[in-house]
Amino acid sequence: MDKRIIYKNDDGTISIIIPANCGLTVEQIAQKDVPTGKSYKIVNVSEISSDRTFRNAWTIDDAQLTDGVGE
Amino acid sequence: MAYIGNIPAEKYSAFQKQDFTTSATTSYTLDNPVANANELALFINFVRQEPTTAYSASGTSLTLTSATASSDDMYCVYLGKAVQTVNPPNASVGASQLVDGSVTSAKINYPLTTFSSTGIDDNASANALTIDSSSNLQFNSGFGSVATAYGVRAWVNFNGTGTVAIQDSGNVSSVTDNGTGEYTINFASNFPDVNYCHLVGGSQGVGVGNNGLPVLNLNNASYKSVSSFRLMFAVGNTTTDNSDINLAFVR
Repeated sequence: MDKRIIYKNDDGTISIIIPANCGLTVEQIAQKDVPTGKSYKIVNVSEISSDRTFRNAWTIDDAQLTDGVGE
Repeated sequence: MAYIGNIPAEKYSAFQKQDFTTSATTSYTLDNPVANANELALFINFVRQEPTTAYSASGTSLTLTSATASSDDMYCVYLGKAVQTVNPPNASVGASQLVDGSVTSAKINYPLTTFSSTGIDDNASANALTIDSSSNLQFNSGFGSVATAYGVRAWVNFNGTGTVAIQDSGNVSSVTDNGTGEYTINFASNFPDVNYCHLVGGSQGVGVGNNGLPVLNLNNASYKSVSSFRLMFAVGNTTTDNSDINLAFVR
């Protein structure tokens, strides 16, 4: 899939979900695999940096997590 | 003797007789349906009754003009309901003569000596595949005997560097990139419990650098659940990404 799902952890770091080709839509995967109650954003893979030098420092504004909430 | 047209099938015909238990009534039930009274020869106390005058009949209903007594002897012979038994000639019954789904397993002589279908071709000379009474799938396939096989219920191969990407997978809905060298495998269908066996491997090309060893984050209580599995790659205490991560889960 060319989509990625972003959500924010309690410590402020972010996790990025890479969907698999399992027959579910990216929205279904987001609802299933994002932790319960956490807001998420679905983006194109091209919006994720491939430079992971400072991966643990990546963060996101809560206001951008507007696509749904993990179930 | 020559025939015009098709040769009749071997058969016999017999007129069927029905005895009645009589009582003080005019109504009786026939074993076989008839169109009218003329299809029956009715006898009461061995005297034949006149159709339509002494009785009428329709379907399985027989109605007498006058009620019988319990001491009467009554029977009928079906004239229009001759029962015929026909044995079809050998090799004459085709698929169109059979009702769909009418061939039951009891009519099949087991075990089948050969079997094939679009997706299965059985060429074994001895038992090679069994589903036991506990629904376990057992097969030989080089094991030396037919024994229960334990399946890889989920697997994934992904690149954890650069743009993290799944190469291929089975029963995995997604991989979560939690940070440098830390990943969660999310299962499409949950495991029944957390007693599954996880097999982890990471590899890289020679001279690319140290991609670390796979370790479990035992400080994270959710590292292993029925729905996901979390692991990290580390060199010493420092997590590091790995370019070729392989996991299989057996249960």
